Amino acid sequence: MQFWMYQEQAKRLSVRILLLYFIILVIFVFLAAASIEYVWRAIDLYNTSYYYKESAAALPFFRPRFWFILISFLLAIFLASQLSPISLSQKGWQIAEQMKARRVTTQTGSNRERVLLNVVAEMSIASGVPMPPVYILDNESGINAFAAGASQSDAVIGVTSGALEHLSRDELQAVVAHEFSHILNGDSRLNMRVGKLLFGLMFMWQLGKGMVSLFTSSGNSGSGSSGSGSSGASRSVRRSSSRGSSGSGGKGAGAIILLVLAIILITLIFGIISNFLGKIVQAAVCRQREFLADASSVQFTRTTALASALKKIAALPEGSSLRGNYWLQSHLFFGSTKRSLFATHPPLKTRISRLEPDWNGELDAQAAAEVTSSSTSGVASDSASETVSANASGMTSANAPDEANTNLSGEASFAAPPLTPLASVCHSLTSAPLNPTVWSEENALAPDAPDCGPEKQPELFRCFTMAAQEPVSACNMVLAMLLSPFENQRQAQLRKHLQQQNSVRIYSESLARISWNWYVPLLELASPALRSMSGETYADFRQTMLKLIGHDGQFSFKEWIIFQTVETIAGTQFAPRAKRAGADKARINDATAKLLSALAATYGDSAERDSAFADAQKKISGEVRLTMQPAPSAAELEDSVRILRAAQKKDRQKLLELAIAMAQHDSLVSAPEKMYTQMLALCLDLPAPHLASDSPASSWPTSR
Amino acid sequence: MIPLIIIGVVVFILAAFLISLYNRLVALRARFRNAFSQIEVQLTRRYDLIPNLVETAKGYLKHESETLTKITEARSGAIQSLKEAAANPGAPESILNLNQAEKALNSSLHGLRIQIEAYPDLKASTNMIQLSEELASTENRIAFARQAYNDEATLYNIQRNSFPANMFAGMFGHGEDAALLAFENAEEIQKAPRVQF
Repeated sequence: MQFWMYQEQAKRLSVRILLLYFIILVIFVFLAAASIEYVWRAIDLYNTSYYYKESAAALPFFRPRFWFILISFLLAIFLASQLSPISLSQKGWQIAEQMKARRVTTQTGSNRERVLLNVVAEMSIASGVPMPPVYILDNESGINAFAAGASQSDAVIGVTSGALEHLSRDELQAVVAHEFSHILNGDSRLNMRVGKLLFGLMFMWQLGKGMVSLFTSSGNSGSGSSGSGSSGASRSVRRSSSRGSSGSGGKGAGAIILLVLAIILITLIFGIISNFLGKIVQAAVCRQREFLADASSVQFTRTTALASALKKIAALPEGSSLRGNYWLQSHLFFGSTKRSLFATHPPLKTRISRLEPDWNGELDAQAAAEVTSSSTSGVASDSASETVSANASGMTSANAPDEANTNLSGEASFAAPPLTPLASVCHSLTSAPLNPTVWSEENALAPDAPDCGPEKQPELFRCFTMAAQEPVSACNMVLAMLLSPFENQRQAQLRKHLQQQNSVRIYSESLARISWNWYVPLLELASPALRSMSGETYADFRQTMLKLIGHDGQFSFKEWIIFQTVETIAGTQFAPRAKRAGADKARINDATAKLLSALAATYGDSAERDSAFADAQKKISGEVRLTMQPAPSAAELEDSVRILRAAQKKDRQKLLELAIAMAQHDSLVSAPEKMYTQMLALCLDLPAPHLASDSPASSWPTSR
Repeated sequence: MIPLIIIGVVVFILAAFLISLYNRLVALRARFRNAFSQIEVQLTRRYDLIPNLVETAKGYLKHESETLTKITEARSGAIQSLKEAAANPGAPESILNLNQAEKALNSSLHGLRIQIEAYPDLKASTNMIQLSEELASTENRIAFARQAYNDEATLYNIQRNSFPANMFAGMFGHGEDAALLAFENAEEIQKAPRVQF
């Protein structure tokens, strides 16, 4: 297999095809503009009394009006192509999520999925492309794969579950290498560009068609059939120009209609032809890029395992077909089902014989037998590994079919769902005052031993650092932080509300061994992963958080502040941008007082609370008088945060200073105090303050 | 005036050519060095996996602790020569050393693999299945990283040796070809095949 040669050939051919198409397109535009110009000119001649025969025959290129028509034609195509729904800024993961693919990470994967991840990592090394996120299309038994994303940095790779099931490791590697070639050579971007242009041409066609129907419907009642009218008019044009007789000015309106009709007709013809040709060209380029990717697959793997993967597709009854409706993304896939001039993929036999020149064209029985046997033995071995992985990944695998079912019927809508404010979620839950007794009990259970730091438990902290970097595990970690500290309640929460309860349980057990001091650093570490969720995923995650919080029918301050912090980190990107204008002083003071009183209430009994609040009050005694508020509700607190987020930075900083003063009122800052203060800072878009918390190791309530 | 303009244009073209040549050489060198660091990353990954492998195998292979100590020794030797090679990538002798050390490690790992075959329990344990997948993947990654390194180094060498770049490459500090990584069993391949009757 001379893969360098085939690569060169494919690259050269696709460039030539595109070039040819552009030349043809330019010629078409010229022709269209020229014919419009000719018609226009003929009408001019008809209307004016001048007789100039030679200039009527002269080429139109010397007239400014021709260029004006040409440029407006090009401009129309360009503007129409900008209306296209294909957007180069669409990220690869967004496309994958539109297809309802499931992201695979090292934590969620079964053994087979681990192999897939490894294979992708290997190919990323061989091709020199950074490791892309990996997705699986569950419930698709055909063998197929896709790569999406306009650039290397936001590309993703996806594989159907059928490919995982039927292909051997080497074959999977070859298929993944093929997809890597698409990423490396920017095929997705190329395809999007051509698609945009095609949309522009399609628009011209549709525009012409729409106007024709408009005219025929209105024209029927008017001056008879437009076709005979135009032919009659053109006959009279010829007659008048040859005779040179002066036309009459009364026919001006008819001439304009004639001109408009001609423009529409020419646009329509131009649109149809160039669009038809464009579809063929797009498919031809696609096929060349497939050949290129096949050759690159050989370059990266230096085996012809791709040929045996293609044979398996040919032998499999489902082939590469997919159950889901992915027509928008069809060009992204590895194999295709359409076979014609418009096919985006070359026929399998051609592809195989390029990879194996001495292939006899027959699918040997061996490949067919392998497919059928691997589908049975593969299931058997997979079920063994499933049981292993079921322990680790919880509901992931069981949950998959449901998701896939919903995706088949559901439309791929991509608008981020509006995030409803807390007050409208569940009235009884969010409007009740935060329960102070829960707080102190929770605080009492907070581990605050000196051996909770990273130097004492390096393994544990390494696990958390890793978990914080992947979206799925980061979400599970946050959910674990929200679990109740009481054993029986925690178990109930896990059972009732969580799909991946096992991994959340593991995180919550590990979290019990580390100090609350580390929650904020962990959340900060997890923020890129949390932010990378799409709007829909985040809305689901938010729903789960609220279910966990609402399990005992009330918000505690800890729950509220963790929720609010995560909302600030991950959710604000979906919310409409708040105007950063200073609200009026009274509202800001009220919000400050509410937040501070909620914070103070976590400090324990009423004496403690009052002294902490008094400390804060002392700090700003000269300016305003803050009044202690009776325990505010979660919705009220959220409102306060919203008001303050819209306020000036100095107002927010003042609140933070007061909170710090409160935390330091008794000269030792416990882990909960520190965590609350730092999270409050994060909620207010301020950097988490450094608080010297290295107080004697004792949890807060027993220190009194 | 006209001769002056012609000279000016020629000088400008020459300068532009030299600048682009210099930049291309620098870029290619950076690329193959980066490719080498990829190998380094993957080799380190393998060295990190080996203690796990030894730990897992220890419980089963009580009578064959010799193999395990051999692997541990070969690992530390390989780490040492990797450090040397990483200090000056592209230097032929350090790459040769690394090749030797890697070869020793590979043969001892191979020995372990044969012994594992004799212990079905060990082979079937979940830990071992995962470990051998990780090891297989790491070995693939090393191979692919070597392949990528060789491709990049070849590109650099071609650019450096082609005319007229070869006249200026030495001046720009690109005097030496990048060393290619040899096959692990280069010596065996070099030997003439022995046929016994």
